Amino acid sequence: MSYINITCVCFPRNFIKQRQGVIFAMSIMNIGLIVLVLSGLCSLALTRRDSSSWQIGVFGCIVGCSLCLLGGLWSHAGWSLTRGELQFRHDMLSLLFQLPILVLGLVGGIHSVGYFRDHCEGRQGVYWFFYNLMLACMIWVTLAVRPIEFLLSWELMGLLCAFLVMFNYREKGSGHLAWIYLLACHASGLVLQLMFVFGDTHNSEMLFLIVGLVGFGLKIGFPLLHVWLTEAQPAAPAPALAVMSGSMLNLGFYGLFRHVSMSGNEFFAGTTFTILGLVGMLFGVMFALGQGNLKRLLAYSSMGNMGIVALGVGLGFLGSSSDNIMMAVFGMSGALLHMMNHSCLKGCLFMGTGSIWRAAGELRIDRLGGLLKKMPWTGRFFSCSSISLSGLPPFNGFTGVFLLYMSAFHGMLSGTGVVLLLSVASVLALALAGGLASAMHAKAIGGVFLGESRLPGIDQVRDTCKTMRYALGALSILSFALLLSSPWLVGCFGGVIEHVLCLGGYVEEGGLTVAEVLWQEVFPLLLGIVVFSFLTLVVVAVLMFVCRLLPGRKLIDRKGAWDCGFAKPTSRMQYTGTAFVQPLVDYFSAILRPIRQLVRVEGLFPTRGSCEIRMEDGGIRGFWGPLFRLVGWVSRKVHRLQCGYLHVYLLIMVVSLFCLLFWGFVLEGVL
Amino acid sequence: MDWWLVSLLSALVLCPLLPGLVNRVKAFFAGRSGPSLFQLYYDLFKLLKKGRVYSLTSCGLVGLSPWFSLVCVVVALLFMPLGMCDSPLRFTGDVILFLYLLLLSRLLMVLGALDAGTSFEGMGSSRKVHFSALSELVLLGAVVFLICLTGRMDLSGLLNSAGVASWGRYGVLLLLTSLGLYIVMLSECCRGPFGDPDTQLELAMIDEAMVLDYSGSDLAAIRYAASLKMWVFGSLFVMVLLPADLLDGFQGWLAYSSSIFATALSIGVIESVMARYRFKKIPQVLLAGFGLTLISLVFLLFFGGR
Repeated sequence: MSYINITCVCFPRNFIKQRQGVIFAMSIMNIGLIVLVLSGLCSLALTRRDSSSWQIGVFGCIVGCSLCLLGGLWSHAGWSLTRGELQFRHDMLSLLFQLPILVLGLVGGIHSVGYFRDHCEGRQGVYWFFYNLMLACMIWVTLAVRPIEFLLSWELMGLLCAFLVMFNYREKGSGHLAWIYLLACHASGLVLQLMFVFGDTHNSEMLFLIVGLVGFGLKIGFPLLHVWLTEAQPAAPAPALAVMSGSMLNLGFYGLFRHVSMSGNEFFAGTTFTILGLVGMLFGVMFALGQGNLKRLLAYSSMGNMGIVALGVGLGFLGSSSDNIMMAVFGMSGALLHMMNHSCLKGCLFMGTGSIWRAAGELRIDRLGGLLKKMPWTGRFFSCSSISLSGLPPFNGFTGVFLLYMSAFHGMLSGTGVVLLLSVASVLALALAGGLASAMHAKAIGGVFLGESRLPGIDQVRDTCKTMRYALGALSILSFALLLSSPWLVGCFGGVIEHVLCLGGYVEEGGLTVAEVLWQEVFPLLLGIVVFSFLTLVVVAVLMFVCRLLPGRKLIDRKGAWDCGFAKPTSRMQYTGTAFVQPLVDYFSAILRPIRQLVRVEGLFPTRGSCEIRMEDGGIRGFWGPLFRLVGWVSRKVHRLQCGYLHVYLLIMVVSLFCLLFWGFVLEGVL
Repeated sequence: MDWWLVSLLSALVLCPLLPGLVNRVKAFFAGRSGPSLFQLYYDLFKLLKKGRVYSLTSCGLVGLSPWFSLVCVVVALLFMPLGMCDSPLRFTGDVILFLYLLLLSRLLMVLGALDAGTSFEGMGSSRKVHFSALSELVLLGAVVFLICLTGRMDLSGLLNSAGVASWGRYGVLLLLTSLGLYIVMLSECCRGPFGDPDTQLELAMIDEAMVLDYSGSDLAAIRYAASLKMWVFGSLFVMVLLPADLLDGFQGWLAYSSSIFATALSIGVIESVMARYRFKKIPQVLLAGFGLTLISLVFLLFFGGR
């Protein structure tokens, strides 16, 4: 390959040596992308032969992702490349968003092997085609420079994901869900086109910012723009869903950081992000509480976590607008760290739902239960990731949330007015969301893995597939590594934070630079967290060991659970997930509006009684439903004009012509 | 530092006295002689020697969660400024780690309860997560107030920097906040009008319902962790109330410990004279506690010279 123009972004001292390294890294990355695309195409071509198609698919996925990962990490300082009309750029910001894509793509590929074994015969080639191409496309999004390429990759990514959403096309309603998904993707693409047009014509920075927020917010899943995320996306196969939920949502933030300059509008951006984050976080976690389907519960939790990331970004901008560098750096680094943690954990959780689905054939929490005995390792990985995602120490989910708290505390101490108000609100909302998230994850773990099984054919359930377990284990180990490495990881965010917050190396007299804040303030705190997390785990291990020496410790008797005096207890008597969260759902019923369908028990010899609680999405119920109904109503009215009489059509043409003439001559003349 | 260690040891050793004290006060009000002050020590000793019975339903979490939960409370205790001395392990922001460790200990107890799979445990844990989500709000409300008051972000600084001078200025606000913390203490330890630890009636149980299936050394860990948690929440309340610069050394330790025992006495009195609230009312009372912390925060920000 001959590259026409290569620039090394960082201008290192020994340029020549570095330059060779850069070319090497760049080539590796491009080869990786090509491998991904080619293996997808081969897989599709061989779709009649099941085994060879999945072998090629997974081979391409592993090799391609590893090569891209190697190339990306090798040249983290960055490069840019122009070849004819194509432009690529790779730097720290791209790398930060590529890592979740590549790691989840790699692990998801391994998980897919187990997920599709003895399943979906004859269609595996199609899956691998879309999966590998989706990965390549997502990488392309992070490399594209010019608007036209970015839009192209953006739309293509949405399209490929829509096909993955439609993958189980035989299931009822999947076409409708894919339609919702496509609508959201195209709306996002349309708004982004508008944004780039505004950007070119230099109309107004504020307008540019708002349009960008809407366009990229559609991908992030900001409140009201989240409907596709919680309704449609969960229909995708679990490993693909893990990649989409864990790393594609992040790309919305990538787009905002890369293509929307907030300089000059920091205060507006900070306020907007913070409010969107607060609402999204609380809304997501509350609706997640009420969901009965595990995938949908996790999808709402994704929305909540994206809210947390947005909150961090907002606090960062508020900090930079009020010259509070501590608040800015803590908020922004917390947002980025939480994004990484969320990717890893949510990937693990969604792949866990895939394992559960393959083992039990059921994802409704109230129908599952007791799976920990049947699939111990899946259960352990899932539970640890789940607890971690509710932001609790000694797991990695805590570190990002902790930095957000610190940012808000700094905002409280030195901020005034809106900054102070939003900081206090952030702390309180984070506290409430933390409590609710732990309840929600307790529901998921308790309903699916603990207690007695409610599944009819539980005896046949086996956790046979090793590859799926390895995938979950790899992500769990990665989560632990993220916890241990978080102080050093945050240190690498310096350049990105400066770029995003438009600080540009500007330092006040006697103030700290971003890097100094990261290494002198953030580093010791995270180190403290890591040390104490480690200490907790060690003390637990030691205590469990010491307890073995107790005299009665070895005497363990196993008896049937205390069954409340029931003569013949069944598993249906235990608390279900719905019952578990019912007090909380009732408490927030003004927001959640649960729909209850109750068949009362009547008469002396009642035949049947039942209670079903459903929850409609708040965005659909409160905004999109009425909006589409209104549009439908207007269209029906307008539809009357289409009556089939020629003279009415002529009349319409004449009237509209007159209106145009009136506008053209009279109004323009007057104005 | 020395007195902090002494206080830490005394917290670990003396905390089983607190439930005994509450029971003695209740017995006094009821005109009975009541169990011994050291009853919990006897119970713990007896339980540690016993074997355990596990439900056939459970899958191993039952044996882990009480001990993990206990360790969480102990590690959280390490950040507390015990006996009016700053904790030597403090670092900026440890207050968040402290609160989240307590949240983790609750979550682990809930998961352990769900592992047993009976409807009683489900009921208790369902109530627990409901109330603890709201008490988290009160706790953070109090923390926000204290951060704005003291300008510090570590737990030792938060609780130990409000001296006599700030009591003169913000005494009322500190009182309001400590009242909020008192409500959280009652709710988190399931004492007083929030829960009734004496009955075995499912209508009245929160924590007690969650631990029905535990036995032997696991139950000992739970009982000990519960009394230690009472000590932790009690000292949160006490440390907000006690002016920091008034006493130190032995006197500080004495004042601190005796205040915690006085708090236990007050819990006993409240349990004796008040009827238990209906469960519908508990969230309202917790929100009232949150309101108290919020009022003190608003007054501090608007009239506190900021």
